Amino acid sequence: MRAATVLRGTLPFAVLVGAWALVAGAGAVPAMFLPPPADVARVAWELARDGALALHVAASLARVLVAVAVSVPLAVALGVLVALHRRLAAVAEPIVAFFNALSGIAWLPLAVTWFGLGWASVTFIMFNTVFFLVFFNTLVGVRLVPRLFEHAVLTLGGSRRHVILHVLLPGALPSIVTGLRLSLGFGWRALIAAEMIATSTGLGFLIYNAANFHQSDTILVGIVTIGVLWLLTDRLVLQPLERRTIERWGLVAAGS
Amino acid sequence: MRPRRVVRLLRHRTVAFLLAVAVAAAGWELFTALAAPRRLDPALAARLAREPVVSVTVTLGFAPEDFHIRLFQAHGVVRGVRGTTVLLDRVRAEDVRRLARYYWIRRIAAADLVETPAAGARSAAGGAEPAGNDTGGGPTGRTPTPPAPAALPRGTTR
Amino acid sequence: MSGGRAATGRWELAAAWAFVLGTGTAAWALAAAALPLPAYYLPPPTAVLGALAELVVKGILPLYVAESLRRILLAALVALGVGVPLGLLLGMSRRLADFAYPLLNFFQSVSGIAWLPLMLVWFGFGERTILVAVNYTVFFPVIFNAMLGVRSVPRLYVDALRTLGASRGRIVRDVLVPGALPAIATGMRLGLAYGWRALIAAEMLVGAHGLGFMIFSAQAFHLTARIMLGMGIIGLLWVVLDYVLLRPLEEATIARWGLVQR
Repeated sequence: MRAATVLRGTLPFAVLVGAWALVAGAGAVPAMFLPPPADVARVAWELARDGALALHVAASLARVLVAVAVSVPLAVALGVLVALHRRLAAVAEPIVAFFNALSGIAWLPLAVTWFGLGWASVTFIMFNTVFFLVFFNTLVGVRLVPRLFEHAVLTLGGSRRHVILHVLLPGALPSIVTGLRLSLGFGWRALIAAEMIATSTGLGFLIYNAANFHQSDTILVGIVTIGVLWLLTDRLVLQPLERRTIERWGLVAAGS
Repeated sequence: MRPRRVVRLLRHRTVAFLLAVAVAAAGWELFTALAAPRRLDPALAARLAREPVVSVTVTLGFAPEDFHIRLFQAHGVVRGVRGTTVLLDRVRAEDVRRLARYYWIRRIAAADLVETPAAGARSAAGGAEPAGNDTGGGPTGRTPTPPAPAALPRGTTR
Repeated sequence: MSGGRAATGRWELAAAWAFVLGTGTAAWALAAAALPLPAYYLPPPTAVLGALAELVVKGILPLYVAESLRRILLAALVALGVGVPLGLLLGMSRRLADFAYPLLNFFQSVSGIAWLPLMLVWFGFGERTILVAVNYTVFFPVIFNAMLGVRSVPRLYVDALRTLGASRGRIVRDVLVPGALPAIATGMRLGLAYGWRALIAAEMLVGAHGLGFMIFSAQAFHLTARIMLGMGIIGLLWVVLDYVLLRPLEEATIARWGLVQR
């Protein structure tokens, strides 16, 4: 059964690559525009071998990790804190929603003004995107936890801390994890765009720089890497997380 | 649909918003179309009837920025800038009328026939005139060099 | 069971808004004046308002806003006109849907911006590059979700109609399309959210008239007030777009057709 699933997952790509090879091989399109798969594979191997690909992948991933590691705990903590105060929460919600709407990449000129070019600005973009989205979702998630549950715990003699840790946080978890998924999605895209503009390492830089030299094969290697990294994150990080939190707490069945 | 249902539909925020936008856009188009002829100098208006291609001086209410220069370049050849006036050469008659519709243009007059020097006249505009990111890609879709990464002002000298 | 802490009075909300906006602006002005930073780091609120007035008087802002809106609306129309029908078609065939799923998933994961360098090689620094990147970005979430929406319609309903003798067209029109509508609305919302952001990035990279270009070029000259103004407008436009067009659409379809099966 497992083999059938793997086949079903890879066959479409095999067909796509086959069609690609046919079009490129037919010579209708110049190699500069559509390099054949063999060329792309060769360049991928070269980049991997001399460490360039690893360098750029590591740079991008490092920024993601740093931004997520700092912003998520901060956003969740703040979200819970703000949600506990009714009026503050009512006010904060639209403001945070507005900052959410302010897309990550729109912060870049301001970030460059403040921090200059380089990893600081780019990581700031990612941090921003993740922070506000997770903050917002935590806020909304906690506010939607039915009061009944809080009262129940308090009636049974639980402390404030109990309420937060055992009622509010678990109750808000589906929303928080959804926020994490969305923010990683938005953030990853903003990161790639920011790397094109404001720094000299990372996958975004790799493909944008390659465009200057018309190196379409390098660009395609970068594009595939970007897509694969996201799919891996989805499969290895987000879906297990969703399974353990959302599905465990009996709410929305984590979809595709 | 019965009248009450129509009214309720109109009150819905989406429909109301779209209607408001449509009305505003139509009103604006009308306004610009009506106001355009006033910006043309009478002498110019007469010449437009005779000549298909003219040279004009476009007077703005402010020193033009790179944005405006680029916009003018889509319609003609920018020969020079002096203060708040731009000298624009080889403009087609219909483009003159199109330019006249911009609300930020004060006046368009016929240019003197004497050729003005092109080089150096650009810097006459005082203050912070951002020459900005001098890449192509506007409505004409020219394809010059790629933009440098941020903070490197390109094309600041002409 | 009430919605927890969610309930708040309308006047309370307005008052709280006024309070926050007031103190926020005051704090900003204070920080701008007091902090020992170069002037261009943190322009005061008045500078941002001044930039607004200046850019409107000079005709720059309206044109940039119009250009950006034009591009995103075009992408929305293309996604709606092409992506939805294609997605529906794909969803109607089990085998096609299974085949397309991994491909669409992959292409959706790669933003149009990642394709932009390749588009630069193909089309250069022009309008077409931006349009391709943005249309791509909006397109894939829409087609993907449309397909999934059709697949999520319970077989029961299709069979029920077929038992009653309905034609294929009837089934599509009365069961599949309505059943897929919530997913389509969600796909549009997601696609446009991605697309709006991709548009800003594309305008920065390609250098075409638009809000992204406005804030990007302002940075080169330390016109930070313009940057902040541009950012505010970018956020505001999305809020308006989302609140006025997208969210009602999503709510209307979900509310009307009942449960959403994601």
